[in-house]
Amino acid sequence: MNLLQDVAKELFSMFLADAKLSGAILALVAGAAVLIDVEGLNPMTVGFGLLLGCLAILAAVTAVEAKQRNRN
Amino acid sequence: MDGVSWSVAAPAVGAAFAASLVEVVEAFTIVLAVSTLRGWRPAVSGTLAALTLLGLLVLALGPLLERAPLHLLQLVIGVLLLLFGMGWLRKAVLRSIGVIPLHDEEVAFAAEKAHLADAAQRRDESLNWIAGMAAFKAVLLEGLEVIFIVIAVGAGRGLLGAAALGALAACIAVLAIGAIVHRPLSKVPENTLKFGVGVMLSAFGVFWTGEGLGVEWPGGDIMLFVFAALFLATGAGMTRLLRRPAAEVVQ
Repeated sequence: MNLLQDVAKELFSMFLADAKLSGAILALVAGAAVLIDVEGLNPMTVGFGLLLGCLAILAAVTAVEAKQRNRN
Repeated sequence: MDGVSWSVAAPAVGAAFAASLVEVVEAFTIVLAVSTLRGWRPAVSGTLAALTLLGLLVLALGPLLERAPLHLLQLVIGVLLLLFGMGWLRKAVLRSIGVIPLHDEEVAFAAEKAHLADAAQRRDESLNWIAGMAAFKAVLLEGLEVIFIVIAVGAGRGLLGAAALGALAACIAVLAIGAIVHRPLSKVPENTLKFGVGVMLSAFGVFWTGEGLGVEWPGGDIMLFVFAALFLATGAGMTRLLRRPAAEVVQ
């Protein structure tokens, strides 16, 4: 049981260690899927939007966390 | 690797090798602590048991991957790669600016030895059993990450064999060096490796997610390098921007 808990904890930390980062990525991908499948936007345009979104999320999440940790 | 260009094969093999190197070094530290305290028998049996379980997992999951529709597979793996790769990149940036401490194999080695000795005092179980389980758990947990990385960078383009070879090369390298020096591999620039792997996995993540959503990237696989360059520039830029003046930067 302890081993299964450790495996579950490891898998959780692999993909969802930082809630803000994971939430933002999942929301971005869901938004991109909606824009392509529902709104019918050009997939390539949305694809580059996905790329820029990921870079912006990375910059924002690291900046916010660095500031928070420096304050503490 | 028939029909697969070097532009996608090289990053896949490189990412699998570098990521596996990081994970295998971490597992090796625990196995070495076990063997130092209780000899090679529990260390080797725990390691072999974990490798057997990991092998069975691969054999069970492999056929499922072949049956999954390609676009769905690319989308799911792409999203998981984004979560995993950007997580590593974020942590590597925060470590390189001194906001969170660097992972130290010497400290991990000492902590595991102390933990094993303490566990043996508290429990009735034999120390050999506890030591074997510690090695088993370390290899299993780090091995799970290696398997995910191999599948993630290899499954979308039929590169599972090549990515697995990259991971195997990392295992052989760590075991060979570890057998010679017989101490934790603390000189491995783990954070730099994690930074590089985070960059490559994030680039693969955007690429597969886009393809899974129906995006046909201009230039095809070459875009992987463009994405990697952009993630590298963003990560390096954030490191430069956020670096604390007084922080002692090791790497």
